[in-house]
Amino acid sequence: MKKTKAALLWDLFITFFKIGAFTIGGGLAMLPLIEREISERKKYISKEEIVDAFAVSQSLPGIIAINSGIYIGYRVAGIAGAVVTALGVILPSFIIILIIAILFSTVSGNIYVTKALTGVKAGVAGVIAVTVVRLGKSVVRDVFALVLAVLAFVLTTWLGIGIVFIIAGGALAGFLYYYIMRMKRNDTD
Amino acid sequence: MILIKLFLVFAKIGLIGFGGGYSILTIIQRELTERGWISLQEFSDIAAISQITPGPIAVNAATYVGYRIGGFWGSVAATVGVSVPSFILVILAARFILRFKSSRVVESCMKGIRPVTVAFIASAAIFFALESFINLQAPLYINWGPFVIFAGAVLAAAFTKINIILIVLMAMGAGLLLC
Repeated sequence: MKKTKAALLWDLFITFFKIGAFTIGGGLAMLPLIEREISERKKYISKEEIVDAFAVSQSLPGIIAINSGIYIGYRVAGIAGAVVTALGVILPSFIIILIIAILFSTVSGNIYVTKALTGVKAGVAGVIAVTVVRLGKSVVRDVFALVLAVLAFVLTTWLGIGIVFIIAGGALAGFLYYYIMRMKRNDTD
Repeated sequence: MILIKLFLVFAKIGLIGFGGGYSILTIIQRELTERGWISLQEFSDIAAISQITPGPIAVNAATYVGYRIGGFWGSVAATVGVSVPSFILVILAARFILRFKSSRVVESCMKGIRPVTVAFIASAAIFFALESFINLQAPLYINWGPFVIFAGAVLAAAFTKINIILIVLMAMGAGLLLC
């Protein structure tokens, strides 16, 4: 039992180290990797819980990549899990930036960097789009969820409403909707 | 002494930095340049470095500034500092959700939160797309190089078992050729 726990922690560390090392573009860019590795392949947590992890990460202060790492690590293996996932996400950038800080005094963008970055952004947009469809399939299952999702999409994309308000609104809508549904059911009983 | 100061300033950044990524950058810039720890020029260097290196931008900034001010241990103090508030808050939130998971109220709220979160992520995909192949000034003109990369990434992620890391690396290589 002790050994399996150590193996689990090591696996979590390596997985999040990879995620930290290969996500250019910040917190959201790592979502497809998390979904594939943690949920689809290793089945540590369900797709619903990945969405929960993101909702929590976005509505709390702090770095989204670290927040979601800590949430998932804690869910899978308690406090020790949270420690190894946080370390895993942080270490790659820590090492890379330390090397850059030691070696170079200034860095300026050049044309190849811009090109590579444009490619990465387009590719990341693609993999996120696919992940959205997968997560949507397990989360958006009735008309109520669909209406909420469309409404939230319009509010964030075109009106730029902040995520904290969107999540609070979603929570309130869920609470009211299911409360009313229960009242109705009690009436007919 | 400087190590404790670095730790505290970055813990403050971790605590008040809502929304991640670029919104946290503004806070970092204010906290650090007003203290005279780094110049504006150095700050824009950090922002540029963060864009082209993997990992969270706030961690990159903490590591860089920490090193400049307090050497290796400075970078450790700053990076740990920026992560500690997350650690405490996220674990408290996770415990709360797990504990009250079966409560009707929390369950109802989570059922409302999940679809809006997925919608928010979809919106983020649009912003990545906007930055690469859609131009708001000329919405009918599509930048074909990045668009082909986008379409390729969608097909690869949806219909093959190719590793996501590999897909992003291929997108980077394709960017050098096509963009």
